[in-house]
Amino acid sequence: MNEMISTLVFYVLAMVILGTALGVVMSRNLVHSALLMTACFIGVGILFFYLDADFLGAMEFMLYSGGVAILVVMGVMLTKRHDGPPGNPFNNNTILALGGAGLFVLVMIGVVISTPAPAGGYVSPDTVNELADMMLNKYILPFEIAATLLLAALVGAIILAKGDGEA
Amino acid sequence: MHSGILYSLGQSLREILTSLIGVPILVDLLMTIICATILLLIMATSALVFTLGERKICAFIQVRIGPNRVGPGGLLQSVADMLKLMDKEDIVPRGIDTWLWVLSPILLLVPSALIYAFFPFDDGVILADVNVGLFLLIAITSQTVLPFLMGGYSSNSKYALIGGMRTVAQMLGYEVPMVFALMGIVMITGSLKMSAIVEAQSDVWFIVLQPLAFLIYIITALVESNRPPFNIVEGESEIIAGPFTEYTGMRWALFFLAEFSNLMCIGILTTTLFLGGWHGPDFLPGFCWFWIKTFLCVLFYQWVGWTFPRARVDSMLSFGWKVLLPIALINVLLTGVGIYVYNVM
Repeated sequence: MNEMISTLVFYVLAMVILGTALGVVMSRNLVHSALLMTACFIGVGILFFYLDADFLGAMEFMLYSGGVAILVVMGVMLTKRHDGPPGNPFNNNTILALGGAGLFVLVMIGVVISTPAPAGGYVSPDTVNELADMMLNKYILPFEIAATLLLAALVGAIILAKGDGEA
Repeated sequence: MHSGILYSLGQSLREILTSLIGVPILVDLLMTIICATILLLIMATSALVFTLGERKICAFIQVRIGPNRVGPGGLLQSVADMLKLMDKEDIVPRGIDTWLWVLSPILLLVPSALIYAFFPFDDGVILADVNVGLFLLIAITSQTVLPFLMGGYSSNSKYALIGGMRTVAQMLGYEVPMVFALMGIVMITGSLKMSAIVEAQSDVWFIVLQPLAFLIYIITALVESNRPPFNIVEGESEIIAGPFTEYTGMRWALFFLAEFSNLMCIGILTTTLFLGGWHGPDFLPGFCWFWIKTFLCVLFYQWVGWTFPRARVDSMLSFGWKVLLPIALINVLLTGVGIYVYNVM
């Protein structure tokens, strides 16, 4: 019974994620696309919770659907062109796109098949502490490099926003 | 393990259900449904009570009488308001993005209702005591931004759009200092679990250990929930009602419900994070202390709201980024040093 419900939850979730992801690509309205992307992010976040990765799930909510998605939606709204017809630009390269997408699917299938599934279902009950341990002990150097990079990006953004004269 | 009236009540309800049904998973499901219903009822009631409370308190502060015609002393005013809202014509403006417009108030209510699952009302009385409780709670509250933006964008009205943009600027801007201020609490507790945070305050409340974080929190909480001195999102004198300018009747009431639910949320959060949660002297059960503190907090927030004039949008944003954020970071540093010194001693 438990197994069945668990499987059912997974497939419903997968359908929601894939459906919204398809919607992002297919929607004729760019704002709708961006909003559907948020829904997709939320679905992925719930998928993390389903896999007992609480912290990553919350991170997905906070950063992706809380931060990134809002910036994208705002950007789309602010850069809307008023002269042309609204919506996503579509073109006629269907066959090329199909080829590219097909190739990607083939590669992904290869990766999924060749990756061995992790043995056993053990998940540490306290993912936060273990993540912190890894980040601040074993992987301290990459962590600090990423932090420096982000700081540089922050300063760069401020300089860009201030313009040439003032900065 | 746990004590308290509410916990034993829930336990006995579970026993009765188990003896009636027998299948554990169905009992779990039923218990969750019952809990969720109670939480939704609390949320709906809070809106009903706070509408009247807000008007009465506002009137008291502005030396007026306030609603006084419907029922004894105006007590039934919110019931009358509710009936009026249900009866109102549902106006759908022309040129809107229909789907987004309809979904916006509904989606707004989802995160507001969801976070009630993470509140510890009494010893052991918490619907979802997850490991990353506090962080998940903040992550879910940050989801309220997008419905506001959706409403603002889809309404096809400049006031609504400006309101939506202000929501984003204000909520994103003040979420950062809020998270950093709450970091001090997490550092002292050593856990993100809501029950652990309350447990850590059994001796000393965090308002004593983290006064700076408390100050930052009450300011950011007022901003995040669009309460008066910082309600630039719906500044009536500037942009009518912000994102919900074009909504009427029950759709507008949903925005309203979310707003009052958020007011209660910040009251509950202040209580849980800084005022010891359900801890209190033994002569009253835990949940009584919890509600007393929560209502005092809500009263405080309303008092602040009706006392100060509304902040200007630009000064508010620069205050958040240039004053609150550095102070919050200093607080994190001080807390770290404090913990180190405490451990050494």
